[in-house]
Amino acid sequence: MNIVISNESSLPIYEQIVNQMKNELIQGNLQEGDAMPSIRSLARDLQISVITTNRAYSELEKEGLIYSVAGKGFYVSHQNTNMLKEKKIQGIEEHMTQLIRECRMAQLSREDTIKMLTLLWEE
Amino acid sequence: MKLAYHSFIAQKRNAMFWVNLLFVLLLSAGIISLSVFHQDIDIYWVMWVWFWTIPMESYGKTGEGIYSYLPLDLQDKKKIYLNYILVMWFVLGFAQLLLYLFVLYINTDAIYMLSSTKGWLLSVILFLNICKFMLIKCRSDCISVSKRFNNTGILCVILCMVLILFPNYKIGVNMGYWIFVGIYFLTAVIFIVLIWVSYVDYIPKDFLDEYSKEKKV
Amino acid sequence: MYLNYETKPLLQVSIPTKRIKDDFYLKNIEFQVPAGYMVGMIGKNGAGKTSLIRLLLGAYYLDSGNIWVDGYSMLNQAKIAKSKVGFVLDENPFPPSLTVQECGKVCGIFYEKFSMKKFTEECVRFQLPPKRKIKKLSQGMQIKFQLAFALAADVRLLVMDEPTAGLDPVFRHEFMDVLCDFIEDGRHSVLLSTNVTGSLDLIADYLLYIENGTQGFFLEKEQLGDCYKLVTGTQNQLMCIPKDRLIAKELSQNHSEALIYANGSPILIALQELPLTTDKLMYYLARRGEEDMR
Repeated sequence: MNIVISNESSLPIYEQIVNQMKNELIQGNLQEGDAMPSIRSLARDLQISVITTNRAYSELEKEGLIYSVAGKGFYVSHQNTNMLKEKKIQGIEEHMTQLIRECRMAQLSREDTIKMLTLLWEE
Repeated sequence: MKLAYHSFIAQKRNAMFWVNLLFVLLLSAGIISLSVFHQDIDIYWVMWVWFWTIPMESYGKTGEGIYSYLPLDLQDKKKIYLNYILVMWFVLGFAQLLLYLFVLYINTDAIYMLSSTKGWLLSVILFLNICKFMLIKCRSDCISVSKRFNNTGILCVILCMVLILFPNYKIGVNMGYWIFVGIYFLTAVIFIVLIWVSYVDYIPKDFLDEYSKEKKV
Repeated sequence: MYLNYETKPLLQVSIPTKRIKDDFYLKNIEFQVPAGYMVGMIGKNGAGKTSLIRLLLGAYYLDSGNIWVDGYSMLNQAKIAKSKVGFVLDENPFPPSLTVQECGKVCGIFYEKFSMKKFTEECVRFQLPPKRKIKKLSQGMQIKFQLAFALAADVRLLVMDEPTAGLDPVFRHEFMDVLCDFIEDGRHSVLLSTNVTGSLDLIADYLLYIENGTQGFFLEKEQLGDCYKLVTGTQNQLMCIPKDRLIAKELSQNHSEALIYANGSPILIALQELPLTTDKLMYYLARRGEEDMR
């Protein structure tokens, strides 16, 4: 697992953690039943606030992605990876809508855009 | 050396010398008993360092010394400051003693002159130095009462100036000596009292009330 | 719940008023720090940060109120309370003519839990030459020395005044690493005042803002967004922010920003929210009530 925190990002730090943890789940790097790093050790490794890390974990817990065992820590719960993927796709759709809007602003035609996309995809 | 030894013997009845020696012995005894007092700090060396280095240097540029930050309670602080005073006192006596021995070595008669004039000045200068150290210390340690100490300090300095300017040539040998001894004792007493008072939880009530009134306005 | 191993606060401060100078008081300072967290103290120069730090370290007497460290009062249990607090100060108060080793020996005896062995280990870790005199140490080494001393004294709370000022980035990173290690076990806390607020944005759990000797706020950093928001919009949009919401704004032709209270009368115009950094927060709070001139 590799988590990158950026100070410059407009996203709050806890959200950065949540997003990256989700990516780890989608990619299968975190499996059901895996122990999550403890809040304090993660905070220590990332050199970030303990409370922020705690917030990220409770966010993940709220979404049912992890669960806590009293006195032990957090574990990855049974994953509905499809659901996560769906959510991810939803996010991508939003990005694309934004992209299309921008393409229109730049007066790019549909064909041109698709061409550009294919070109970039193959790179 | 022989001469010095003989002069020493010859002058042994000289009360000045004996009083000084007594000082030194008393103070040595005091320090030894203090080291017994400090049983928790059993390293003599540590005591030594505390005595010599730290009091001189602990003030720092801003007057905030290491004393203020270490976990010492009032009693510890009092002990350290009293030790310090005693040591400075000891130094004063010791310096005098050495000076006398030196003078005895050169010329037995000069002792009279020295005890009345130069010895006097020497002790006043030393006294001023102690004043300086103690003032800085008092100031940095208890801001609330620093004003009072400032005034006391200024009084001390004025007293010293008067003493220095005093035409001491006219004072007889014995007179000069006893004044010196008087100051010697007085210094210690004044400072012991000052330090003691500063650490008794004595922040004048009217003082604080005044400030809180100011604050409300 | 998994964060706190102990329930009572490690540091509890309650100072109704403390006279510093004739015309300067610390007033209404009240906060609690649980064990295992990092508190960043911010405020303009001269706001009273250093005075507060000296009070926390027991170097100044309390006029009123009290400070408790791990439940021990600075008033009548000062010796125990102080032995639980370590200090790293801008200006090293240790006797300058003693060597590193001597200093550990002479000053360490006052701490119940001070271990010379640990001190030597820390000195090795921080690459402090044991035979060098304190006054010959560089600024960075002075900080390291104080840190090594505090760690060897097994303190529960580290109080630091501008520790990272004037340090190179390499050392600053190392330093933060040590602090993170220190609080990781959940038993130790750190309170540091700094003007290099960039490092606080990530690491601080709580922020303490001091303004003119009073406590501006003491908040979890995560709660800042619930109290303050930094927004941007056109000049006209920003002009329409109601007075009771606005803290301070900066208007210019091409970029305008304003710090507003997160709660209060509704704002109709859609303003875009910007990430709120400690730097910006301090800047706008300091300008609170000022009319924008630009």
